[in-house]
Amino acid sequence: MTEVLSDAIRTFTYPFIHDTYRYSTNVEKAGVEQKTEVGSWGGTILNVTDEYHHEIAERARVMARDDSRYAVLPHMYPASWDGARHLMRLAAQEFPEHFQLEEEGDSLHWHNSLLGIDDTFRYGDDASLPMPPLEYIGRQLGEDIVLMDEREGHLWVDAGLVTFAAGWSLAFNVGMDFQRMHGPVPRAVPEGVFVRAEQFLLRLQPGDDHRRLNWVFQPDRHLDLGMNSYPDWLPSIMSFMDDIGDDEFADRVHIRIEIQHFIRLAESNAVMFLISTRLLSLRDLARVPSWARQTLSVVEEVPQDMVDYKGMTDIRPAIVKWLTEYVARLDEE
Amino acid sequence: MTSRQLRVSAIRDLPGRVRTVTLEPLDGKALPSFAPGSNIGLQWSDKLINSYSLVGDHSSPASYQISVLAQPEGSGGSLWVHNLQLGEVVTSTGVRSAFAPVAIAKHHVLVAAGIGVTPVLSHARWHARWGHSFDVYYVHRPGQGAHLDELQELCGDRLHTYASRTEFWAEFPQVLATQPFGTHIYTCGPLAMIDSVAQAAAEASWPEGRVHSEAFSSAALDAGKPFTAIFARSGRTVTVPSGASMLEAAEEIGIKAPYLCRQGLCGECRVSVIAGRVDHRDLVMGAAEKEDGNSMMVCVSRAADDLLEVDL
Repeated sequence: MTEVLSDAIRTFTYPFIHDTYRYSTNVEKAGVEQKTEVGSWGGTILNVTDEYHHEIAERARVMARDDSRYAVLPHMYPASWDGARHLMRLAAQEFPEHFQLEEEGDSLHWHNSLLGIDDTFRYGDDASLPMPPLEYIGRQLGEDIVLMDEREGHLWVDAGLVTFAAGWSLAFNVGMDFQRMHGPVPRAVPEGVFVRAEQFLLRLQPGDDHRRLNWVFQPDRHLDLGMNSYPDWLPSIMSFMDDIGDDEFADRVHIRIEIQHFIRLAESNAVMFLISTRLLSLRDLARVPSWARQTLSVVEEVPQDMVDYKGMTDIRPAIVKWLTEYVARLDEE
Repeated sequence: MTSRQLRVSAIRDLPGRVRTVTLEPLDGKALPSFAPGSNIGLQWSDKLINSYSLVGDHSSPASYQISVLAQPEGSGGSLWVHNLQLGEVVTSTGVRSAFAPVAIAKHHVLVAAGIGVTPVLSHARWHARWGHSFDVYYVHRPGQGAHLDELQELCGDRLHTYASRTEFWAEFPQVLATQPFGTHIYTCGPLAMIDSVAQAAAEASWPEGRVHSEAFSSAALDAGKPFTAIFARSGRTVTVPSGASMLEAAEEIGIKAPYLCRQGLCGECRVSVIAGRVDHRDLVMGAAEKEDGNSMMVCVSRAADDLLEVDL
């Protein structure tokens, strides 16, 4: 079977390493290119892809309906500047063809040629920007951004711009500590995973950056699966299995990957958490035979409580069925 | 951690046998920003690294500055710094943040004694920049106040100076009794000063979590009892004798462990504890963290009982 694979497949963040999956602190250094069966991903921290304009428009649409997706507690004001500047530096360094940043002390000149934005402003001076710094840069990147403050030996979710949450809400979580925020994760499970994860994050030294992947299957290409907008997307997902035809199933079901980055900001000492959401249809995923086989093994085996938590209760049997038939055909060929 | 080559580009003598050394990057590129209270380690002999607080601009620094008190009776690091010549190249560790301001504080009380002024200066610079509410209480011998001029410029009437600890203590209990709710205290100086500020704060009913400190000399620790150490990742079990640290015991059998200061100050040698209770003797971890007992600094901390299993 020879077929020309699309860029989306060749650069896809295929997440599975083993034939089974459990939550773990599966953290690795950021910015290191990871080879896959058919290509690679991860050479950069930020993801500026063909989806960029769609992500920016979608973020603007979500914000227009619900501005609680952006929150900065007052004490996070310096951290929000530190985070915004870090993101601008990173964008300019990783994608110089799209973004430029000139710095002279506190004077910053930012240019985003993809959106035709060109601003000069002063670091630390909100009045010199059309909107607060974290919102400003957040509206120009596809990544969700969370800033965590460190105090009392813990991390606190105290600021962010999150429009593409999968089943959670920044407005609900803001002000919570790291352990409480992860309270609902089931089986998470060898006891102490989040204690160790937090310890790890607390140990990050200035400029350190790491990443991990998370995955789930979902109907269609919704980026925003936030708690705040249940009414917008939940009905179509609830009725998805009733309405879907066999022939369109694999095109409409998608694997959703969250590329999560953890970066210790150097000046404010805050930990910046970035989530880049990538979507690939089950049909495209299965175009790589080893991916189809391993994904079948993983999805079949995942414990029910994890499936329920991920919101895959209804969809799992159908994914398993489709992949089983698909893999059987591969084996015949 | 990334080590870095830095060149001595300026030397300035301050009152009180303190010398400020400016270090610039060899490649001329901007250095990373740093959090107030951060330090860098300078390698001053084959195996020895001393940490010094950064006192200069922390937002977009073109160079790093350290201010070091000459201590002829010390182990030699401070005199090494004082002997550095213009143009000399030194090796530094990456920047470490170990004494950052608490962002949520409503007001910051900064207490500096002697050379303990260095991280306090950096905190004051930060608070002045972001318009935070703060006061600086600086104890120094008459005429020997390093960085006094800069502090005056940054703080104005928020700077309170004392020529002796007696003078300081005549006033400070009243300060402790009258701070707004949500104030945090940061003390930097000799251990005795830190202890007495912490004790006075406790007597004035301050919650422990609002009282912070960075020590400039660590009290000698006792040799401790022998105990059994299990290095789980390496699959080795050894006895740590009295007078030797768990870190030394690990190195003895060829286990590589991270470390810098070997004095319980820098936090580099933290490892996860798998089993056993820890007698924490470091100055890095907070009280709550020590109570959790999930990790320890193997350079100074020991088993509270007979056995300790760690992820090393």
